[in-house]
Amino acid sequence: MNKKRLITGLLCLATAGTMAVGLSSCGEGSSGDTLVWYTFEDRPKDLDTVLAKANEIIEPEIGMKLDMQYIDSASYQEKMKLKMAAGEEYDLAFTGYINNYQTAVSLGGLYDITDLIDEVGLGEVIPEFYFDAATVDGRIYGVPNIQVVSNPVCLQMDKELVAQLGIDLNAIQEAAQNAKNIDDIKAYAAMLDDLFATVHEAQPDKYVYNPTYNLITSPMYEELLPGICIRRDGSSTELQKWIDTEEWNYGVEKIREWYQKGYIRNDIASKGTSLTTNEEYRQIIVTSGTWKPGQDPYVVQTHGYEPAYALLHVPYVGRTSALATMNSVGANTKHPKEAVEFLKLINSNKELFNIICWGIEGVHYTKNEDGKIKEIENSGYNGLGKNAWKYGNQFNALLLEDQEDGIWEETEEMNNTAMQSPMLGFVPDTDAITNELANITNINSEYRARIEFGTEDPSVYMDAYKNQLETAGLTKVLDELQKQYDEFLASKED
Amino acid sequence: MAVKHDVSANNLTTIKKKKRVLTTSDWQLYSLCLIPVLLVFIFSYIPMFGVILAFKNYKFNLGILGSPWVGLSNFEFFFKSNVFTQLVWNTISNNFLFIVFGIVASLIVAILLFELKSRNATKTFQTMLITPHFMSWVIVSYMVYAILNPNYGYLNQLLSLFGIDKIDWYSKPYAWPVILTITFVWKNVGMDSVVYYAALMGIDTSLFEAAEVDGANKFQRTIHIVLPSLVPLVTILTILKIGGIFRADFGLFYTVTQDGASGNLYETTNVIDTYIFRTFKDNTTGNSYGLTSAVGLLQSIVGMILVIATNSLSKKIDKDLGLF
Repeated sequence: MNKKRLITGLLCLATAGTMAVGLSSCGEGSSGDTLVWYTFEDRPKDLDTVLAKANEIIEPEIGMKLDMQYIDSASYQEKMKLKMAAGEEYDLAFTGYINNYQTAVSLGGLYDITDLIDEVGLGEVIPEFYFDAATVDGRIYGVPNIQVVSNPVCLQMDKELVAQLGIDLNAIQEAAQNAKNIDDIKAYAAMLDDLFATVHEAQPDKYVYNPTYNLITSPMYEELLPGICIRRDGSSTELQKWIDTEEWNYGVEKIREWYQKGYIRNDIASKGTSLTTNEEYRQIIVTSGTWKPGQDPYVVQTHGYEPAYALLHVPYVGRTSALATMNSVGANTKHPKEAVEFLKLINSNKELFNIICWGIEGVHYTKNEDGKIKEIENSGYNGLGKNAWKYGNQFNALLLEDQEDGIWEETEEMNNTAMQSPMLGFVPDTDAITNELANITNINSEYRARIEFGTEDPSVYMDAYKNQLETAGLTKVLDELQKQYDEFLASKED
Repeated sequence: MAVKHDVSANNLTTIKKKKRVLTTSDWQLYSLCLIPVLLVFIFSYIPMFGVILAFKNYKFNLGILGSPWVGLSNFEFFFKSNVFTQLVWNTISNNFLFIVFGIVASLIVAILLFELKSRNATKTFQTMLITPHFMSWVIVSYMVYAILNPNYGYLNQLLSLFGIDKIDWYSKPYAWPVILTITFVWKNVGMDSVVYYAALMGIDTSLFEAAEVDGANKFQRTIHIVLPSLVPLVTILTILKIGGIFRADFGLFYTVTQDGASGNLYETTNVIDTYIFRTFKDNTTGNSYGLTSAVGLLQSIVGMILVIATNSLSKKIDKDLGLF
């Protein structure tokens, strides 16, 4: 009996113990004099050494140390949401294309740094239009990392093949960039038809085209929210429904035609457009993607050819493109001022930035005579600098050996001279149209294969699709957004 | 649970139910449930506090209690959804197929295993049947894809041997209730049959001996002894499953259909759980926590109503049947 009692007692203890461990392990996070910065990637082995070196610069400047917390990219979004929901005290976190900035703002997960920006003088290191893009209801909650924000949609092909088949990509580029109306678009689409037919004949065992971007509407329109778009060139302040534009309807017919001609793989509905392995990339002759200066070495790696491009519109800063990569301050931080000071430091101090990106010279990388970087393999701090846009101003990053000189200058030039979206800085308030948008999103995903990949004849489903969108309240969404957009334009003129 | 099944199986065949009351001297029994009860309390009762999110516009910086109340407006989104009837119909009809075919299949498997005389054979078959249960739906989805791929799938290769044209299964919504039911039953039949098998082991062997003396063949023994002794267990498990009929197995409906094959399969495979996931996956709208909690609460309430209804219905049929 005593023995049994003992066992029961032990069991109880064990349970209680497990619970205690479970609870206490939630409590990690910021402590006294350290800034905690969340970002995504597998934690580099040699992080501690690098941070110690970085803190030699950081601590004298802002009086606090930096601690970086790496979360693997697959679970970053979910973990950050939980941290925000749980009200965890952290100081900085990556927001943007994952851990979406606008969602985080609307859920109240970020700290309002509008006043601190002026106090700390962050405007000295970040051009103003980045802040315009990040403004929600007149307040700013994060700092965009400067990098390419104006990349145009492009067609990409093997340079050799282009020469061999005598394809004129420049003519396609010109036709696309000068497209102003449906007739221009039709002429441009006819050129695409010729292109696809030629390459299909030359390499019949490959897939001609992977429909990642809408080739027909990309030259002329930018999407605001599902179902709603606006002309890129700013010639009209009117928002439009996609289904009302001639170009969109024409594009749906075109994609169906291409699908039927066998240009697009016939299992695209279940396969999707995302490619993962180099073999998959190499099965596609014409790729649609985005272009940025200095990307050729990467294309050679994945696609196995020297690329040639046709840029489908001029470099263009989209409404949300500056919001793709940012760093924000956590809502419950105890050190907002220091956090913003740190953001200024990382965006202006090249030495610090390159320590975070590449590690320590001689230990993690060596410099060649041009001042370019060669990583030391398996040094415990590899590859992070390739994604320097996670940490701050990409243009401050040292170049890798295989990167051309001057790509940052070229990118910066492209950003600064790019056409700016007429909607830049417009962040719609969707509270009044939540239900309608949810329905529209769902209808769009239901018809995705048919509309984006052309798996069915548009005449079969198009009326039903349009009716469903109208019943779901597309007109209400349009009216509401138009009203907000007009107000936005009016406020901009003041 | 297993204890209870044995008891109820025996009840029917031996003497009338005798209520046994636990006393303080049974503290050892109590202590055995300590951990499960704690787990249920921590993971099911404490989080119930969170249902108030269904009535709030949740903002992180205001906290759960500080966020504004919005009444029932979070529920509107789901009821006003343009695919509301489709969702409810798909969820219930697919689950109904799963329950019916799942029970029939696992009963058959359990009885067949029970009839096997060799212990080794029983063990081998059981292991083979249970293995799929431990595979994740993602793995299963690729197995299904290998079979159904429009170009290289085994099924299409087989069809083309017979001169039948290849079929793109991922654009044929009406094939999917069948495909999903087969997949679901294949994955779960092993585990479910174990429960029935355990109950069969508890049947008084003297009944079989008596039947044999009376000259009953195997089929008659199955009909008159085996099946009746399984009725209470089948009822209880069915009641429990019906409680979940408003909830769809997300892994099955999302990954096995390859995300509804970019929309082509929604007509028959869009269920409440996948709809909610797709709507809020990349949403930039504000109150996703409130809206999703509202739907979750709704699913639970419907489940509870169904459990109570089925339970009282089965008690009407036979007073001893029923979960509570």
